[in-house]
Amino acid sequence: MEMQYRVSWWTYATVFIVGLVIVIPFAWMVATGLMTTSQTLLVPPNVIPSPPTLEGAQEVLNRIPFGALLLNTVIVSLARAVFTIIICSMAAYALAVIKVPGSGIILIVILALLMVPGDIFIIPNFAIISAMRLTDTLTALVLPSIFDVFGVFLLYQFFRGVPRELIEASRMDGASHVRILATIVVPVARSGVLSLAILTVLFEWKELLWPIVVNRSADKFTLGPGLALLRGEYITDWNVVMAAGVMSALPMIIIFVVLQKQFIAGIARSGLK
Amino acid sequence: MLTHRTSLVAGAAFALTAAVGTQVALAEDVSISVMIWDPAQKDGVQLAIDAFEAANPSIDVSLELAPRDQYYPKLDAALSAGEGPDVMWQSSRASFYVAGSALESLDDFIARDSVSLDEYNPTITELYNFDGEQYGIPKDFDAWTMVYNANVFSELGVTPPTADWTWDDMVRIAGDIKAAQNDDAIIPLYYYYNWNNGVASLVHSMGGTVIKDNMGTMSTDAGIKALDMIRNLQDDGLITKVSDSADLNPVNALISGTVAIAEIPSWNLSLLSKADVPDGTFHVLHLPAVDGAWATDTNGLSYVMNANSQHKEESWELIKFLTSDEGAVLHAQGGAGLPANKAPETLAAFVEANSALVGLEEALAAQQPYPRTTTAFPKVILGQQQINSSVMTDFYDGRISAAEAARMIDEINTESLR
Repeated sequence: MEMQYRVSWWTYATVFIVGLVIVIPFAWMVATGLMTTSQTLLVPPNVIPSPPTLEGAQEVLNRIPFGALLLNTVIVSLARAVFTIIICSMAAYALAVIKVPGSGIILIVILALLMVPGDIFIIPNFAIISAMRLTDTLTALVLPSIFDVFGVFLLYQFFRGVPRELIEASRMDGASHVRILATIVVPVARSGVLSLAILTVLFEWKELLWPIVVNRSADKFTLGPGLALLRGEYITDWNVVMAAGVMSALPMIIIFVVLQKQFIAGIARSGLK
Repeated sequence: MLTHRTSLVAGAAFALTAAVGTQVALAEDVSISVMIWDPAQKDGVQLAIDAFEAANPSIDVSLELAPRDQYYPKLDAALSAGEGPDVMWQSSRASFYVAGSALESLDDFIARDSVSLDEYNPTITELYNFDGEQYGIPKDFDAWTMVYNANVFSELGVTPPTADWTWDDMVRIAGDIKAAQNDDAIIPLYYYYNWNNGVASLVHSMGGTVIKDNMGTMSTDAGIKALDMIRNLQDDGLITKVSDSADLNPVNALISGTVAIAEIPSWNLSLLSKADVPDGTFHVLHLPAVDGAWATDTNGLSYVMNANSQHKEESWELIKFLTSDEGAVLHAQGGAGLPANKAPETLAAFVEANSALVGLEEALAAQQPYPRTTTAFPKVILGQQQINSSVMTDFYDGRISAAEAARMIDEINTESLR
């Protein structure tokens, strides 16, 4: 039987205030994106664009190859998500289901690596990608990030929850590890896999430093570094940057609105936020 | 296990390559790359590159723009892997790259082509000479100017400054701006209050030094007086409280008329000249005289060559062109970056590109530059964070005296120089 909760007025008030705090910066971004550069310099600042204009959005298209950057971001995000899931699920399966010798030590190493900021691997990563002659390619954006210790750890937690009986029954029926992984473990732990996919796409969408470091051509960038190019050295046309921010966030917002049930369920089940 | 892992990496790389494609290098023409960080100068650099490509059809030059914050991390990663752009901008950090053998000495090229370094601002040329070898050809140099918004003076009925102004004139005029308002909506003055630029320049104007014989020398009459002069501006309400100044952008403030007079470095002048304001709005002066002098710190970027470049001849040809009279003029036509090339036509091109700024040519001609402290003594760069975040903050907040601040700055710099 479902429990009935009485929601008090202050709960609504808290939700409203917290919601406002979250929405205001985004609303300000949208408003600034609809201003001219002169309107953004007014003192005191004008919150409502008067009159609203798409000058900022037009300038975005003039200054950076926005369509190419968006396409690159989609390609790289999807490739990264697919390959991350393949690599991480195999590694997590080896640790959680097969329990390979030394899996305890491997897990400790994974936990240790989780504590290390990823940026410190930039120089060795660049050296490897350079040796493979893959700099200034979209492949370079994907390859280093698909060996993701966070993904392994996340899927390890989900795979541990898969009933052993199912796996042992399949082994007795002669199923290979690949088959068990693909047909039993991944479907049972699909919320974890979905969470990893969503988080990987989000990480890639926001990635900044690595694409700038490894790629040279603007048409090989993703949206993060593309937007960074709009910032001036000493002065920035904020209407242009904010318009670009809205244009970049829009696809993700649309995807979220369409898939919000799966998204929230996936995140809730994974215990992550 | 190793074989499996290797196979895994190779397989993933192959699959990804197939999935998203790779770049195929051009086989015939020589392609070289130039990396810069300032979007405001991109147009000028591109103009010069276009002219170079027209004169050298077999050399294809790609101009890469990296955001300033990521410029050096990108360079570090690429150079350490034996990659990186063929030609790049360098600043006061050049010494670190020379020490790491990442940059090519240009001495042989300079001697072979009889390039005269006398054609460049000598202060900047010297910055890129290490152990007698020249690693960079100067591109630009920094100048500091004071710019006032004539509309603000007109609206408030205050007489604007003249070209022969002094520090006392500046204080008096800023006071007039403050007195002419009821609501303090207009900030009278923006002056660089940090140690490396504002304070050190005043010390030099008064004939002092901030570092001598590898020791900090702020604890002198000139050093202490310079600190007090800027704090008095704050305490008299002529500049914004330093603790509230971090977000104040002097260029934006001048354009919007919320600041009457602002100290503006040469690399920002084009932003004012391109602003959507009536002609004659901005007037440019040299800094106000203190004891008859108006010393300003200078630095300058240079074009340097990657020691790992596969096309050193072509890279040298490009550097030579970009810094030549013709290349410098084209760059200056972009409006940003004051050329280090001393040919009169380069300054004329810069002034012409910024013709909306009244008095620019005279203000630039009157510069009294000295090498910026962090440029002349790169070791003190590491201590700047400490000086700005602790010493200067405490000083401007009134928690320590000028003498104490000077002593602490000396300690930090002397320690850095060891």
